[in-house]
Amino acid sequence: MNCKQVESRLIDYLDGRLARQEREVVEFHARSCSSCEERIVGLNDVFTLLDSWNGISPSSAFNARLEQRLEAEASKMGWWGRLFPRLLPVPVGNPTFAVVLFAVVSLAAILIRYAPTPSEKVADAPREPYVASVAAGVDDLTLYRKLPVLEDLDVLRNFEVLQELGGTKSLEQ
Amino acid sequence: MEVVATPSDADLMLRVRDGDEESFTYLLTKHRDPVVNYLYRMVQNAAVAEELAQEVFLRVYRAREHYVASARFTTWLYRIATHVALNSLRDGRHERNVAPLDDLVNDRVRELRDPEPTVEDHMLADARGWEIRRAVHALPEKQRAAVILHKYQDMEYKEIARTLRCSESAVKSLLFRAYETLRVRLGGLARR
Repeated sequence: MNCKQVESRLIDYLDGRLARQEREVVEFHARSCSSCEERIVGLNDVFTLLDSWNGISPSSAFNARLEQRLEAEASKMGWWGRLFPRLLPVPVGNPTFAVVLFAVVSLAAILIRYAPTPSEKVADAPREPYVASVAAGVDDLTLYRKLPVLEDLDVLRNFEVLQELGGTKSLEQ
Repeated sequence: MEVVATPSDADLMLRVRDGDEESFTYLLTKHRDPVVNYLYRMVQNAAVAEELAQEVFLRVYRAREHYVASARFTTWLYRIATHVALNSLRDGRHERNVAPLDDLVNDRVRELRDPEPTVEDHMLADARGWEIRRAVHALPEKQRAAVILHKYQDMEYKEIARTLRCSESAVKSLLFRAYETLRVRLGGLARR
């Protein structure tokens, strides 16, 4: 076993988690390698020092305070806030966000439900001139080119002042 | 005679999800001290640690509806605790460079229970404790979390990896670098 291999086993060695055979191999290497031996001694000292860092005991009021906070939160949320997580099986943050999300989803559902179907759209759509033209076998390209002229003609034909003057006759001719 | 299996923490949490408040009280009682101490060693302030532990258990309770027993309960719990601790440290609200007085007082109270400690013993213990805490505090956040989970929460590499969301080999590397740094920083202290 070389230094690199010992290095990768050092923490397990110090934790006492190495199998006996591996442990003996590490110790055998350390006896002939001063650098690894020094590292093992140093890390062992660190482990001992860390053991001396005592923990703390939570205050006696910890549970009571937590209970108060849970109760305060429950009363702040109200019945809807308590019910909502059961209705929606995914985390959605606070109750306000949950209500907004619910409203958006409901609105989307209503819009989709009452949106006109494709057949209704076709039925309601105004008849375009080209539809009749295609049916009549008129060349589309020619029709598009004449469209502004036809529109002008239509405007002039329905222009009341000209009709009164009897000008439409001449235009039609 | 039929042997009744003790429910696991994950089973208890599933009961909490179904509205069993007693199971939550049991989990709280079981994990409160380790969580408070984990947070204390992370942020190194007893009052802040207690406040953060409250936040952790509040989050656990809030998340009960969506709890899925896909991992060990402790992994999930310490993942929340680590998240809360790192957020607190990054906010900088609880960041401090000197040991708070309450830590020294806590240490002193514990040491007073030992037989006949002298004033010098107290001073030496205070100084050593302060140096150890400072050395741990100086570690990068993830290394610090890995060391505390390994040394004080007695977690194995696999569980540390799941808690910190990294691979086992990354945990081994984090721990080795952290302990090496501590060996260099605390080398003088160990020889005193």
